Amino acid sequence: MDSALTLLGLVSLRPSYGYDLKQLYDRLFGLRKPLAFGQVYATIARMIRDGLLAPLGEEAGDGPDRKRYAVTPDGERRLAEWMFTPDVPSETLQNNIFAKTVVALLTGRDAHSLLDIQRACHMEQMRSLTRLKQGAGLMHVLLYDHALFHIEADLRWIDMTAARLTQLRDEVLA
Amino acid sequence: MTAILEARGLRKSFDRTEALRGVDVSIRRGEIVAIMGPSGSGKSTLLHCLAGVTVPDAGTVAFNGTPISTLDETARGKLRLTDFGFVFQFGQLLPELTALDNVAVPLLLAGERRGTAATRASEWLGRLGLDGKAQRRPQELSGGEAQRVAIARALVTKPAVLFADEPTGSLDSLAAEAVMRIMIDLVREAGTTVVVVTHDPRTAAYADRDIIVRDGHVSVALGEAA
Amino acid sequence: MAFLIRLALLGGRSSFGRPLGIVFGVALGMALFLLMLGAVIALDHRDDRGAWTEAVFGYTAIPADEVAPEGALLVHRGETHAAGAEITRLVVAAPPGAMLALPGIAGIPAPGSYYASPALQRLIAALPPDEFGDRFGTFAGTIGNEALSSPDALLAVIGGSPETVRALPRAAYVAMVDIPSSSAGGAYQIVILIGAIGLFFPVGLLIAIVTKLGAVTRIERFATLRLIGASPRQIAFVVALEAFLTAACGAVLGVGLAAIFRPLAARIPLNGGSFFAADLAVGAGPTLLAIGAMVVAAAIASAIGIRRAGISPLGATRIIRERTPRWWRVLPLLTGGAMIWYGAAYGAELDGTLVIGFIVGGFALTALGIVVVGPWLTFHLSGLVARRAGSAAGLIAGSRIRATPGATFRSVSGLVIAVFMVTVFSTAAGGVIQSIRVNAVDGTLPLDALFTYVPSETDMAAVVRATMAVPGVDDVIVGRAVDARASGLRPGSVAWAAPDFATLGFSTAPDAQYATFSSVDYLTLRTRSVETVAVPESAVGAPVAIVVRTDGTASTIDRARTVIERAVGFAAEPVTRVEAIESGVRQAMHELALVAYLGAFVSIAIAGCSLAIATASAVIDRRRVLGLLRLMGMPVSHLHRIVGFEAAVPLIGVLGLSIAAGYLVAEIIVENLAPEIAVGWPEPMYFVALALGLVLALVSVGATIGTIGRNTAVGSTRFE
Repeated sequence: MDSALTLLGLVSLRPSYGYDLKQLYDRLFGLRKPLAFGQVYATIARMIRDGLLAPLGEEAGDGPDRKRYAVTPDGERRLAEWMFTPDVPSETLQNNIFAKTVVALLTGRDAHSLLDIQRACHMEQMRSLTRLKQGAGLMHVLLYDHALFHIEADLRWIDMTAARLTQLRDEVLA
Repeated sequence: MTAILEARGLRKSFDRTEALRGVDVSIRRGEIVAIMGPSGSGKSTLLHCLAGVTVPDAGTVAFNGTPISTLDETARGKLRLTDFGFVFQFGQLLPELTALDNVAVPLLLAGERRGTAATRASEWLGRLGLDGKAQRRPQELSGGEAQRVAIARALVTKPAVLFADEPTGSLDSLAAEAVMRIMIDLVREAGTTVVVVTHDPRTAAYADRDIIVRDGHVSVALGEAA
Repeated sequence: MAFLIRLALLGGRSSFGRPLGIVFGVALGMALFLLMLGAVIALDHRDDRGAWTEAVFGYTAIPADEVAPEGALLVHRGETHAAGAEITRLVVAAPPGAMLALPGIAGIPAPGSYYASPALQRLIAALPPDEFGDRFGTFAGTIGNEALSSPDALLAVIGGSPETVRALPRAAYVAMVDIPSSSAGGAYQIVILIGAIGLFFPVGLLIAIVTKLGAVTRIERFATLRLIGASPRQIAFVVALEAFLTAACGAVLGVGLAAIFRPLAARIPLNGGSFFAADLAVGAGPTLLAIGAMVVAAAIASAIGIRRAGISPLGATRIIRERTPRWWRVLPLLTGGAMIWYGAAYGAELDGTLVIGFIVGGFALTALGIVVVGPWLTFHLSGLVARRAGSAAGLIAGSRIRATPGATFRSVSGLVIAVFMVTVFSTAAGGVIQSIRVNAVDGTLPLDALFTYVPSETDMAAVVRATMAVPGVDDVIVGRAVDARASGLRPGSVAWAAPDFATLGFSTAPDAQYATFSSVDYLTLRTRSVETVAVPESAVGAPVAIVVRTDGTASTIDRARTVIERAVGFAAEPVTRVEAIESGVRQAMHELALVAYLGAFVSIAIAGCSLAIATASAVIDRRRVLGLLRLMGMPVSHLHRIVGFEAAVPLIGVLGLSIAAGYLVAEIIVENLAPEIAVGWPEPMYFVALALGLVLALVSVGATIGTIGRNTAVGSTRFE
């Protein structure tokens, strides 16, 4: 998953201190691997450089942990682009879709259409694989099947998530 | 390309449950469309409305530009018999009839003579790879074979639209694949339009596009994306 | 077990209708059975009660020209007719010292007065006195019911002086009146017993079908019971218990129904008269026995029904592949026919009960045989339909029947049995009625004429004068005694003057001046005529017979009869040829046929219920596949046609068989019980009953067809 864009999404919820960002991130996504403080600040610095984030208020000069950050209009655009662009199905995809969904829920964006768009992309992929499969030799059929089953697994996860969005929103916003 | 089936603002309730709450669907001639969605989402209801099986509470369905939701049951029955074909999940074959007779039934209903009907039915059984199974009764066939007989029966009248409701729902993956492959090959060859309701992505992947029904709505983004 | 019963039986509201069907069917069957049983018993009982009037023919009677026994009455038993009815006339005189009292009357009527049964009183009141009432004298009182076999009994006990009664032909001294009854009702008893047994078939079929239907609708419940470990035997027990209880309710209800309908049923005439309502009452013992039999039969029928439904632990009815019916199914039918034939053909050499056993047993076996052979016939017929059908409905129905010939036939078996029964009854009855039709034939007594013998001492001139004075009387002629020794002719022959033969119904007059008939059957021949035989003039004696030609109206005939009887006395019994021939036979057969139609109507009604229920269950069994066909665009009318075919094919196929078998059985039985009668065409009422049966079948199937629409409507099943 893209932790930078995820953090950007969290900031878009409300201007935040680096410390609060890390806490929120860990609660939502850090189940297996919490972020290090250094990583948070490095990412923030990179996004400020790219014009996606901006420090807030006049407390300049204090340490990074004393500053609040807010999302710039460029940042908002980048965020929307990320969120509503489907990821090409791959084995490591899930975390990213999950992050997108959570951020969308947090920030009041349309998580449903996010999932629908993702779903359509997956289906398209399955259709092209199925077309390739028609008339292919057994070796290839088995290869395509392997890919198809993985995409299908993602799709099932997407469907399950879509069906439980309301519940997820409640939990995320708790 | 013109739409062979066009639905506008479909609404349908059963008792207090709203199965469809304003659905627009347009299906082009020769297209293979999958209707997907969670169970209870209204996808079967949508299929029944499109096929003139149920009449929507509001909205219109047009087949080749002619509204069918205003026809009476007799006229819709005739339409279903001559222009539509149907395949269901299971139990659609008459258990007392041989495979051949099962396929011949729609032809007899259409007024065909017994001899002609038998010849054409046996042709279609051949096309579905069922040579030699003509005299079997449904309970003597495997699930996949029975579905292929059902497909032969649906296609024997050369329908303009084939409606399939979970055609692979009671088959294992391999049998499901065989059934879908042979069905898709035949309908592509004949240019038949197909509307298939399924919750199985692998079955839906045989379609040209899919329509998602969720809580009685068709996902708008996708309807346009396709 | 109690737990099982509770689980199995406590269905929802829907489970109410089914037991109601059983209760209704059993109640109807039970009521009818009890009434028929009552009739069988009452026929004997009331014959005993009425037998005293025949005392003059019994062994206690002593001819009047012998010495009078101590305390005996002088009795003459004769008949008179009025308005087509036959009246028994006992003329009694109490010689000095007579001790005997007659049943039902207060005392021996004084000469010139009479006692009458209530029915006779009504008849006398209904007819003008000069046609009827004047024949009897002064009314002395009513004969009590305890002395009458039936409320319809037409009986007069007339007082006479010892001298006049002793002078009457066939008069006798009677000292006691305990006469063993001649079992005249025997044939009726056989027929009614057959009907009562026949009644068990439709009722049993109804129960079996209703049980199976109940099993189908409760399939999940039973399957759950099987899954948690109930054995098929336990399920059958529970279901049988259910049938046992409902049938018990029905049977008790039936006893009540029988009591309610007893007065109505008593009015049906049997063996010459209707019943006193009390006669039809069945004692507590037989009633309990009948209830027991009915309830046990119900339990067995339902246990068989549930086994047919084939409940497996996994729910869905196991598709029972019916075995192809084999040829041996013809055997019971042939055996039954053979038994009846044997009982009839060799009846004379066998013990009476054995004959009845053969005939009743053979009849039951034949009825059973029709049920057994039905599936076999249905199978072959449906095969033909399935192969030849040009329509989808024909193909589907034909294949379905071919796959389940037994189940299909069961749905019409009730009707088929009813048709068999009614064919037997009406063919027998119709044959008799046809064969006794009386026609005017050259050489027999004309239909408008009265004939009677008169005592030779009668003042013939006065009688002829009085009779000629009756308006409507055309001619009165007199026959004379023939001296048998002088002529060499049969004793008792009557000589008539040659010109009178035109009046006697002969188109050609004999050559001699006097002639008589070649046969004594002049009065009773139906179709053949008698020859004339010349009588030497020297052998002709005094007048002994009289023939009166009338205009043919009933009132003229009765008026002439009254005049003759008053002028001649009780020795005269003027009859028309029709009255002489009938002697109750035609009436009896009409009665028999009436009973048959009533029985058939009830069987048909019960069978109609069965057919409707079976048709409904055939639809419910297949509602998914029929619903899908309808969804595919098969018009509802085609579904109707399928169901129609499925009822019609076995019905038509086996109906032919039942009619043929019924006709044959009737012929065999009638030839045994009444060899002089030839079996002819059934009465018109038979065709009415047949048509009624078919209409009822159509209506019940039609009513069920309504359920097809509902049961196969989209939404009644999930089409996935």
